[in-house]
Amino acid sequence: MPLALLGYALAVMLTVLAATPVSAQTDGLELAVKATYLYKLAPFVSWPASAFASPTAPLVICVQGAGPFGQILDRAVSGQAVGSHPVTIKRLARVDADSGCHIAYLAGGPGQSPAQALQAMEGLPVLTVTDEARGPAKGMVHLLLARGKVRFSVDAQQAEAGGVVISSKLLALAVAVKR
Amino acid sequence: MRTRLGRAQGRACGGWTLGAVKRSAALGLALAAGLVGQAHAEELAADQAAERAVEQLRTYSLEDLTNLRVTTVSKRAEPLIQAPAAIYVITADDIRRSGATSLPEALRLAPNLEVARINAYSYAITARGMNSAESANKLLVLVNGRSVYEPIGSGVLWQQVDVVLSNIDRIEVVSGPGGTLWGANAVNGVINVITKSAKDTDGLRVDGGAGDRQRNLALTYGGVLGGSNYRLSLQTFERDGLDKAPGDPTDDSFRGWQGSARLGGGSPSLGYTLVANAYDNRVGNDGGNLWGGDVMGRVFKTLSGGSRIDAQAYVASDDRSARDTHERRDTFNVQAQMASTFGAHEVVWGGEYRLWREYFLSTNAFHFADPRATISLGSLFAQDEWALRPDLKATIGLKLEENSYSGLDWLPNLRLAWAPSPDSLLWAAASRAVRTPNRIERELQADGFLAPSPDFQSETLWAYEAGARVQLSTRASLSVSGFYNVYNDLRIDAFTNGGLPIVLRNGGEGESWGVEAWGTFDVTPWWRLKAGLNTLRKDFRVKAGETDLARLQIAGMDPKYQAQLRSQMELGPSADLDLALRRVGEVTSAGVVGPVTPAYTEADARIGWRVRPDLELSLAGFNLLNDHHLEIDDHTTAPLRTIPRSVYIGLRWGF
Repeated sequence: MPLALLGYALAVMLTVLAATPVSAQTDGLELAVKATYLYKLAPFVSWPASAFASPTAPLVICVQGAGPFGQILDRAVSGQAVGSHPVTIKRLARVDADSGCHIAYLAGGPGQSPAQALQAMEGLPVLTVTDEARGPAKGMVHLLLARGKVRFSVDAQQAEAGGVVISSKLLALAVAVKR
Repeated sequence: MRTRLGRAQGRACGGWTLGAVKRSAALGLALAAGLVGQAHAEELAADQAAERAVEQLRTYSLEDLTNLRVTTVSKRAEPLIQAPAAIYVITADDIRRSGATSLPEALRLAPNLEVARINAYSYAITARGMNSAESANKLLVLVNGRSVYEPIGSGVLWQQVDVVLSNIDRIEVVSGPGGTLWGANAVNGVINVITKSAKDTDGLRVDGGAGDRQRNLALTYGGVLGGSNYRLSLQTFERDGLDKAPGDPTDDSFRGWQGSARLGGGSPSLGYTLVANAYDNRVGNDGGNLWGGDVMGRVFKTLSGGSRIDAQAYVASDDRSARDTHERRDTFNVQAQMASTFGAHEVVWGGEYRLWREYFLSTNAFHFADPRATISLGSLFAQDEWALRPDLKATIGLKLEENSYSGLDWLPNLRLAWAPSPDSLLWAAASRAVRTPNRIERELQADGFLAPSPDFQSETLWAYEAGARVQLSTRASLSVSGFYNVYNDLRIDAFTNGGLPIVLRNGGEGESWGVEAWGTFDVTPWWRLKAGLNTLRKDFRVKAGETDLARLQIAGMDPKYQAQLRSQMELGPSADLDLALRRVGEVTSAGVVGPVTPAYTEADARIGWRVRPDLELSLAGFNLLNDHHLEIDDHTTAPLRTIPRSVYIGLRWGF
């Protein structure tokens, strides 16, 4: 019996061969908090009137590139609304002026890096959200980990350029604000 | 008698405690999935935890979100643990803030453990009772899946377990048998030490300090090699002997070094880790030398259906020499398991095989007839986690274990977990566990005085447990568990036909019961309180017709209660203040009038100052309330020591 076990274990190990190096894992709770931020930020942001087709038009959260959230983002926003706008999710490989986003989480992917996505969104009334875990490029809101908690920094300059107004409450909660 | 045998065992083993931990366990991922011992695809596990989390997080305000600890180094924050077991997770940050500089000291953070310091190098650690250097033989301790128990006496030689503390990601402390997927000898508890993966520690890090009783330095360097990550570590430490009685010539000072290398890589669907360690520790001036090393490799692969295979193998060599004993032990271990989902069933099954090649030479009266022995153990296990309803899960498990001393054992396990709301969990469990015979019990002899005991069988336990875990609000959480343990076939020392020689028999039995509770409360966003409590009652006896010459020494020496309170404060953006208060009840022993060890209260304090984002200085004081205090009086195996007050200045750079 021991020999059989040994044989089994070795067989298993031999079938598991060379690794393909790739991206890090983000842990479950951290991911859940980031997904929650995406819709919880919305009440503290004002878009120009032209951003919504009607008072009940959906508020679109776009996930650009290799979004890490999977189904949990859809679960997080199901049934949620910001004012009278129901929240919906759109997944895109690339974002640009015609993507129809109000909030864009720029995960980056083979088609467009976060930095490229930011460039494409420049001057548009879209709240760009970047993530320290996905790259160094910083959007209007940049998610990061500070002392074991998920926090964010705000780039008020970019927001102003896009016509997006960020409330002072949000600025107060940010770990850093770039004006 | 007790003293003679104890001293014999002590001398035979170089005067140190002996531990038995028999089986390597599933990887720490198991708990990330939320159910003890369950090794799922890492993504599957993270998804499940994340799903439950987003539900709970709906009620959080933006401000709450900014205050929620996701703790970068721990897989989950306390409120979201799903395991149907009494499990406490010590995080890397908890360890840093406590000022602990060794693994046993870090274990004090777990409210479900008894940690008693014997002297500068030695500790008696157990869960749910039966503690002492002799009787703490029911704990499974693993470092990255490698079991660090000692097959001679079934205990853990903490002085031979070197881990770089700042590399620890978390320590999972399970009290109770834990579940099917943990190894043999996980009777009273499991301690699973998991170090950070190489990719989480890059660059140069220094963690060191000096105090009036100890000096430490650990250097680690992490980087990238091809598509993988590596980490090299080197650490050295020195502990002065503790306070002793005047005229006591023994020297318990302790120092050593350890080096390790780690290489890991892969993707979420296929990965590997390779770890190598070497260590060399010395006790006293001539008291003994412990050295050795190990190499461990682990691979996992997720298959297209979502199943996952994990396999691990290690080779270790440990050498221990003292005045009149020399032990050398080579360990070979392979294990593998597969986790799959079939509808509402999450099934894990697998096996393990371990071989020890032991060499133990003693030049005193207590010896083994043949210094060499080969001890083997193998096991097969299967566990099914069945989601009866979305909020109700049953876990049914069975492990078959075979070891070269006592043959085959059946270890069934049944657990139920019910989540009445997203914020709470109720669980109950019944399990059978065994503590298999060790080399001393079977083979130790002293001509005319002690004979080998080839008929000594495994000690058995039926454990009945239940608990609840509740997230009381966004700021407070509570976990409570209770247990009722029924032990049988416990070890006693008996005469043969009314006279010498002494043999060991399975003539003891008894019950123990108690409660463990812990909670956290965020008084303010910058001030967190953590409290913990455990209680224990024991009723042990010798079976009818038997007499124990050791007077139920196997029942151990335990306090009836232990309590601790910790305060973690953030003083502004760059300073932490941590205070810890602990109270341990008195320890009494059958047949001894008055307490063997009086109750004591002690406190530690640490203030840390982040001078720069990557440089932290700290000042800590340990055992501040008394000049010195006694934690355990087990002078049959080691000379008496009291633990003094001490201070320590620490430095962490690069973190």
